[in-house]
Amino acid sequence: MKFVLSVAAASMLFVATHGTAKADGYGAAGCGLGAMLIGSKPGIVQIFAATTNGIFGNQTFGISSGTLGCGTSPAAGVASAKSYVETNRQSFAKDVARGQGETIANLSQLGGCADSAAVAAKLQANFKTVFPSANVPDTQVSTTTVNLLKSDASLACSKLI
Amino acid sequence: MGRAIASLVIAWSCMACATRVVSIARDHLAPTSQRAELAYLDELLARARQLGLSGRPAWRKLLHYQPTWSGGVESEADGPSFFLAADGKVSPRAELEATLRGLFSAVQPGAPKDVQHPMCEFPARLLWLTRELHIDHERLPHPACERFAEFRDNLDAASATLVFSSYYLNNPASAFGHTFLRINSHRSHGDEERGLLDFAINFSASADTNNAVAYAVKGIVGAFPGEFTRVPYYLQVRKYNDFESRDLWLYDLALSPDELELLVAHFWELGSTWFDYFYMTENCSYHILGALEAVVPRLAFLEHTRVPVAPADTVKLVTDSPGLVTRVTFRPAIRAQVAARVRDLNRTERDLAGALALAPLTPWPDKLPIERRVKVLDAATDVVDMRFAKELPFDLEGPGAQRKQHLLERRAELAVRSLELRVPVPDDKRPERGHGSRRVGIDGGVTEAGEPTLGINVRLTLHDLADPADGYPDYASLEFLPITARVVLAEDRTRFRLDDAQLVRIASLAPLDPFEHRTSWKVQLGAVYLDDSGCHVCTAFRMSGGAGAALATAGGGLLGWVMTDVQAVSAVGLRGIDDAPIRLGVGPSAGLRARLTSNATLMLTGEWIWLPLQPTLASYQVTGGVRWRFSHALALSATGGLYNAGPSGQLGVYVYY
Repeated sequence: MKFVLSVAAASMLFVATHGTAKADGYGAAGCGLGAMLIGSKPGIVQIFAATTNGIFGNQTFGISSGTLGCGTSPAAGVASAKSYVETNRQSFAKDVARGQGETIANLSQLGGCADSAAVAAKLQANFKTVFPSANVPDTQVSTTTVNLLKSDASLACSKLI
Repeated sequence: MGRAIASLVIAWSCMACATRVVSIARDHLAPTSQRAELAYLDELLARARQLGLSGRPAWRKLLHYQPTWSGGVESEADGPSFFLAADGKVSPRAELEATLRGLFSAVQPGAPKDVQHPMCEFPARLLWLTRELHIDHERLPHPACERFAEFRDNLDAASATLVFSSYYLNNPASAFGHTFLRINSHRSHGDEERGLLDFAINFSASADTNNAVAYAVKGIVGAFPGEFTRVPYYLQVRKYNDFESRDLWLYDLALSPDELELLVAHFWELGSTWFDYFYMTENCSYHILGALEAVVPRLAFLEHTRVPVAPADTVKLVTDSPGLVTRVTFRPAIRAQVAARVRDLNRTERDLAGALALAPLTPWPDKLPIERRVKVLDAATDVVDMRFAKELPFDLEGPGAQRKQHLLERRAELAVRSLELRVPVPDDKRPERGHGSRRVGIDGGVTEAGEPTLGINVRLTLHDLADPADGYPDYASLEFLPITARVVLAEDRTRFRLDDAQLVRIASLAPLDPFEHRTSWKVQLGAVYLDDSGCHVCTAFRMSGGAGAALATAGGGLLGWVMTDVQAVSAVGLRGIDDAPIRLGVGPSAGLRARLTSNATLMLTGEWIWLPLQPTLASYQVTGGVRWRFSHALALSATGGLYNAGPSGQLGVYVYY
């Protein structure tokens, strides 16, 4: 049965359209979504990855693998905040421009910042600093963000020290 | 059968997975030699035997034992490190006693670093045994268990939520949906907005290769090991809501503090093993149920699963458990967010948002107040995110990224906060409200030759365009093994005939709207009944597909589509191209669906296929029908058809279960 279904899935390859991927190797690109999704592999790999729900291309998230490579930990401060910003970049960019949103609320919590609304206002006012152009790398976005929040003492982001 | 295939592939697959197999603890443990400990161990062993603990459902479920054909049991866990007894996979009693002995053992000096003391590696077993045997922890060794403690502290579990990620037709293989668990921390307490930082526990097959050929082969033979992983919930949100535009449904579970503690401990145990992944049976949703059952033994989910284990069916099992679900919430996909933003705009603003999504530097018209500019820009940005969802994470140079950057720069310059987006919850689309995933039906009518006929039809799963709409995608049809057979009561003799037996039949219609132009497509593979000059009364194998466009009215009440179809047909006795038994055709098809009420649907479809260089130059088919659901599980159906052999019609009833 499974065999037949798999053949059926394979025979449907022509309906699955996916852009060609340009994902950098894991690590070089930080923790961006593109670096973590198997979806970055074109064609047949994508089909079978979806069949099995195996979406992540590495063992970063094994339960017993210990310290997180890309992920957050309540204790981990700057590293967690950066990894979080990189993975959420597309949504985070919108929230920064809109001066509001859940990706900012959660970043404030990760950074131990006193007031999420103040963080949002600060980021919105500095949109062009954090996102100077479309092609700024994920890792630069996350570094700039963390530095921006750290540099403003009034935000009191206690975990970003 | 499944087991036989499984055991065949285990040996093979593990050549590949050997690279990440954890060390087997039982090879590196030394039994205790302290007399006091040995005496206490004997006491516990005797008490466990006396109580018959290894026969308890709770122990069976914690170790994932299932009955075998031969009357024994076997654990579904396939990683050898999950068992402390060499025959633990098949012997609950040996494993229980080995676990008790393990508690009193010591990790040998020089053991590999990943070897944990059994108290650390199997914290859920320890919790359960402690409760049942009243084990005095003062009389046990005191290993540090730092790794488990870090895992537990990171999860910081306050409650748990079952998450259903909806149907994803654009990738046939994940069309059925997906489920995973979210562990809500004390920080978020299940609050959706604050919950992004919580962890999801996901069961999935592990890709241990990036080679497409190896991937395909292993996918086909089912050789991927399935593993539980701990994934940040925000990563799930980005993947499902944004990347694949799938809505998430969240079911908060009423687990007691004890059950929750056991659940977290059990996930740790599961982290050291794997389960062979079976797409149809032992899949993501099955093992999520198995983990829940392991910590709440009164739940009897697994014995009620059926083949295939459809994720929505597992949600039904959970919501049907009295008192288990305390709250249902919804997290809209990017497509639903766009729809909500666009609803908030007037016509001029909508056109403007559409224009901005294409040309982000389009100047503002006069007199558009700033709060309206905010709404237009926010809508336009979401449109770009939706349209370029598959490119944005990978391509920072492409048109999507450029447009988004311009729009966001303009948006930030306005320097006001957006209001929080409220997306209405489509409660009628909750997966557990859908009709039963299986269907059987009977009908009576007349054939093309005017002979009376009685038919029977079955469908393994899941939904077609004329089925009741609740709980399913509006514009999609996804069917596995729909089969219709009939008896024809002709005057001379009674004949049996197979009308239609499809392995799979999928249609994904995407109505065009001002913001998105996706292709509608369909595909099917199976056998059909033919009666024309090239194939007289024959059952033919057919592979067909089509692509085109669809349109729908605002609420989806009226849906129409046109496509170009191609097909390849083959049958014994068929006269096709050059008299070979192969028929190739191409031609237009169209359809119309009207939802008369929420329970009544009218469908009209037609196709005309040109068969060049073949004895039969063309075939056509027109069908029409009404389906009316008159009770939860029952529907009446009236259909009529016209094709080369003549007109036919049937009246029937369907049962969804």
